[in-house]
Amino acid sequence: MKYLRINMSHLHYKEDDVPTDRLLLGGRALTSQLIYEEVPATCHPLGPLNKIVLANGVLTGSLASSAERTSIGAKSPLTGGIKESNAGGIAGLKMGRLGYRAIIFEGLRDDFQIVIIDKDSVRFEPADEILGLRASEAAQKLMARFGDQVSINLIGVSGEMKMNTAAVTNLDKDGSPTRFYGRGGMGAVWGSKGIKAVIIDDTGAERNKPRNRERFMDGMKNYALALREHPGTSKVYPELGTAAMVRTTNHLGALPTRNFSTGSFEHYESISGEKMRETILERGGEGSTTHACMPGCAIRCSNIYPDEEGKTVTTPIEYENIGLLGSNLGIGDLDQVVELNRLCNELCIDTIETGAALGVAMQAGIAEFGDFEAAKNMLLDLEKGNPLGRIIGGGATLVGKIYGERRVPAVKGQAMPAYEPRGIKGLGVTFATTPQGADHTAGQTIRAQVDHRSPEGQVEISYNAQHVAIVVDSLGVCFMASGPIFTKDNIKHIANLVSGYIGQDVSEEDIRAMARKCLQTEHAFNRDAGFTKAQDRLPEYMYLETNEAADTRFDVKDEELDKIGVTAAH
Amino acid sequence: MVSQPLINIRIQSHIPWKSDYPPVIQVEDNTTIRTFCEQIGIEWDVEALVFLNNQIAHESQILQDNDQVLLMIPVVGG
Repeated sequence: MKYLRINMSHLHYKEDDVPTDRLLLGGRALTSQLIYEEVPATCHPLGPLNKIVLANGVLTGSLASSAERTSIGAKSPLTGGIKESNAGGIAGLKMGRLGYRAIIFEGLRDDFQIVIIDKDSVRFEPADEILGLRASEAAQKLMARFGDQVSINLIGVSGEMKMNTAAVTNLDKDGSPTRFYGRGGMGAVWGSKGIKAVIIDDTGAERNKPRNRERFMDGMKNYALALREHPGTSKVYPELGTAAMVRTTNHLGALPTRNFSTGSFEHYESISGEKMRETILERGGEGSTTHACMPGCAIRCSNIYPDEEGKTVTTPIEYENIGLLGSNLGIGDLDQVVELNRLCNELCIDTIETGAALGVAMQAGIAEFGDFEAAKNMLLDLEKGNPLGRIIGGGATLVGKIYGERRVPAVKGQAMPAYEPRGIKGLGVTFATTPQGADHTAGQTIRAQVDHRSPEGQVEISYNAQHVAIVVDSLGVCFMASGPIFTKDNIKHIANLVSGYIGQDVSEEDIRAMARKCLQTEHAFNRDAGFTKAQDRLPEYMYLETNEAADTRFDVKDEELDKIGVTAAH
Repeated sequence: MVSQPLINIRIQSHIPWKSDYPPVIQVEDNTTIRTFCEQIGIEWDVEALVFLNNQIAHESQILQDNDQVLLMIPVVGG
């Protein structure tokens, strides 16, 4: 297993073996460790001292189900702190076959390059041909040039303009460039280093083999059984995808509505997972209610949304996108939500940050809530780089500052995903205290069978959930599998799986310790970057104003938050 | 042995594969919500997010006559 270092200033590269004592570091744990060690915390995120780490999870490349995820880490231009964002798709599998645990990009350049990595070398070609194109067209041109068996990591026009909303995408198993490392403006950091696309060609590379096949297969058998037995992974996600959440969050008063002003939307049924499934089945054609983004994924939570003629509009339509581009904008028409989602995908922008930015703009009176055409036009402005588009592309916090709007649903500069935190206070604690900025995948608490509107006990629930998130994000396992993994002590089977794959004796406690250390490391980076407990708070209005749908304000005490935040002694 | 009096529990399910319930189910008095769920084939804290009278239920809550139980899909989001 190797690290590949690519210097974008000088367009050269070198390889290093992964130290044996770091084989249990993958995904988020690895990106955060390397960023902490190698990037000055006070550096400019778009400057030469920042680095990008593209890292496989520990199990990525093993072909264990739902475990092909890759992480991108860097200092975030959106939050100013440490950031990790991960995605499914096929890049991890290809990277793994080439023997790379991580690819580290260094340096800075003004032009844009395509980086081509194969089993023999790394080479660079100018990216002029694909600059300014939408993602699908750029991906088509790259596949025509490099073949349809490669993986492609790609930024869009947003990344070229180094916008805070810029994401990085990669291909799903069917060649669609719609698997996003969405959060934290990672696409802007790629743009700052002149990386337009990374092609990974594993032609001629051998398939990865577990070091201890018997142990690996034993772990695999039990892991697969856990996925099959859990209702989430066996029934909910394959049938309804993550959009199954709409009814639940609406009932909890936690479906963000009209710029997070309340948590219940009068048209929620028309944008629900059930409605989406019904629409896809009715239209047929290329549409599909279930779809795997990674080879061999048993969960298949993705989908393909068709138009009225059955032609693909985009993939996937997820809960977060429905919440941020739908109810949060007062839009209750699923086709309109999907069209906004498609545009975000084409421009390679984070649907969460963009939906929140549009919501703040609507709150500030730039457009009316529910005005789909205005929302679409603002995205087209973003594509053109017009002043309003640049402002939207700067993210929700920037929109609020420019238009004098104090109701901005963001923490550490990063917009909240689709959970109104007054309705689910455990998630409010996560948003406030995680080093990652407001991010549900950093510590999801909605599944807890607790009173989500009570402030009591939420800090402990969030803290545990934050560690669960690090475990799955570091192993390369999909977040959807976290339920089965942490039910009935199944984590011991994961330890077996990991042990068999890397050929080291890894215990359940080793995995948990890895997660604890990762969280400590991320907080340490943020402290060095100047973060204090002042950044570990929700927006002021959420403490002062009632979410009428949940009939509550955010009232978890500051001193409780500080027990697990950036200033805590972990 | 003296049997407990029965109470009526109203039930609504948003879980497609766990929706074949009558609108009202009778259970013995002093039944907890967790026991009730297990009696109707719901594994506690695994197969459903359970609400009692519009609030998330705690497993030890004792059901009262005419209470409403709501079963929501148990997922962690996207």
